[in-house]
Amino acid sequence: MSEDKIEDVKVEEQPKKNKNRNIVSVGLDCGTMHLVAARSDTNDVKVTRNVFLPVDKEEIDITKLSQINYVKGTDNELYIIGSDAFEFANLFGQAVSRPMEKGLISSKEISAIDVLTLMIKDLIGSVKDKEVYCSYSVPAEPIDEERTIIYHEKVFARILNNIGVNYTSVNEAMAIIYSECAKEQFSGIAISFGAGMANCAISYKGIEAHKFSTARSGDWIDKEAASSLDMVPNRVTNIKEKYMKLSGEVEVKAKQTKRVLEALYYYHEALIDYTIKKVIKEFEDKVDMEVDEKLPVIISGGTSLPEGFVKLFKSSLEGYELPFDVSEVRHAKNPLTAVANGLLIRTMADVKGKI
Amino acid sequence: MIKLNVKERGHVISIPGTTPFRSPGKINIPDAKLSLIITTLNNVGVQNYEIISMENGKEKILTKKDFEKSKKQKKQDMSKIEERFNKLEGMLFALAKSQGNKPQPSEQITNKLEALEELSKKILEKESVRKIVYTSSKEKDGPIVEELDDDKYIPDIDLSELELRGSSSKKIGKVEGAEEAADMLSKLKGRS
Repeated sequence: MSEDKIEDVKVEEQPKKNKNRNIVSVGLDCGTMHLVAARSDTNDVKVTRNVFLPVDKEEIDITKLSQINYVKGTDNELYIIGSDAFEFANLFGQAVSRPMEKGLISSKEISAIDVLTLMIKDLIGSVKDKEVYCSYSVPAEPIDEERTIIYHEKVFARILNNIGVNYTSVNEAMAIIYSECAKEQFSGIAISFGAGMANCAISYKGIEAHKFSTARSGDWIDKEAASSLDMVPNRVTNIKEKYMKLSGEVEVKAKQTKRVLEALYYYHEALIDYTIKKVIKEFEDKVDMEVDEKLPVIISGGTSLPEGFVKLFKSSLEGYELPFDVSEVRHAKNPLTAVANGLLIRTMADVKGKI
Repeated sequence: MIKLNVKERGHVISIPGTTPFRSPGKINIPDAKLSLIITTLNNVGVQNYEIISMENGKEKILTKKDFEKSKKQKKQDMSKIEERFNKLEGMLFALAKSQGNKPQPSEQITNKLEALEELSKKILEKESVRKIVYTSSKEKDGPIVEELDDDKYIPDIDLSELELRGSSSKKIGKVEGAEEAADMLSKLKGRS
């Protein structure tokens, strides 16, 4: 899949400067936990949880689902989608299905592509009578695991094709550069700490100098902390989302919760340290350019949300001799929407260049 | 290690695993498949390039023409197979003739010919799996690439029998500053 797919589609056949064309740009962040879309005509940023719950129609009274969002299939298939899926999963004592795992389309949930398509269609909104261009996020190839992104990229391409939009894939961390580094003319180092992966891109004046990902991020922290304390990862995730702070005093009294938070702190520290080491190594080994200015480091992604994450990152970074000069380490303005916002900027820039 | 020298001006070359660069330029590619490099160059429409590789300690330079040769070579291989079949067929008929009107060997020969037909069909089918396509319709003698039909592994999407009730998405914010940033990015990339 070419990153310049937009440049291949239809545009040449259209009359130039035709004001009647109803062109809409979209940025679609395809994350493990959330799907986020930003759209140029409404200026809205919308989100949905990237989960669903298959239930049997015979087991549930459909009239009681008036406030619930679901997808109705043939026969007895019913899929509760988004946040509602979580609540019903607890009610039925089931685990939710996740279309994505470790940052990529899950091989276990291939049958769910249709449901995912409907969720994305709903998230993007109406495309009728509009010429819609969409950039969707893809991770970089992981450097610490034998996995490829090709299948993931193609599945999302097919979904967007089915919805009827023109699409192009854009690296997730580069999207953060587009969103957060306009004042530095799109130069910087962006690290997106997602649930499944940590994605990093090094950009110089909008040109991607290098990108990579590691398979360690939020899920890794939860899994390792749970394993250390002999707990189930779900419970650890719950405590992390409710109480986790990486600075200041821990405000909980329960001993067990304190122990979990302590373990989580160590694994956050380990994750940051691991990622910094990989950034340095990749920069030294793969970046073949002379950067004569200081670069900002942008931290984003759901895993960077706990208070004190950026401060911890800064203090860890100070312990290393870096192959580049850092102007500042800063948090994305909104770590949950930065990727979708950056993808929208990229789409709009591509469309501007063609019309 | 492969070295790529793109002589034409004005292309942004982005080969997976390497730093993108604007041509003309020369880069080292530590680990990339030749087919991937050719595909990338074809995608951006580069005609004038050199791929320099080390073979037995010697430098070997490949250009666009070398990939044209391999296509001709394939065609020649196919015509050779056909030629050999024809020759074999002729030999078998000659043998049948020398046997006179004896029914037994003639039947055997027919069977053998049928078996050969089956074999040739299989060979031709096997050949057609690796479809050869031209990346540019204008440039019929352009480099050849193998079209990898990996789309067949992507599941089909059928929404005809699915119906969405409600909406699982919610608004979490407004887009800010996208227009200015997009203008800046577009100018930086030389697109407007």
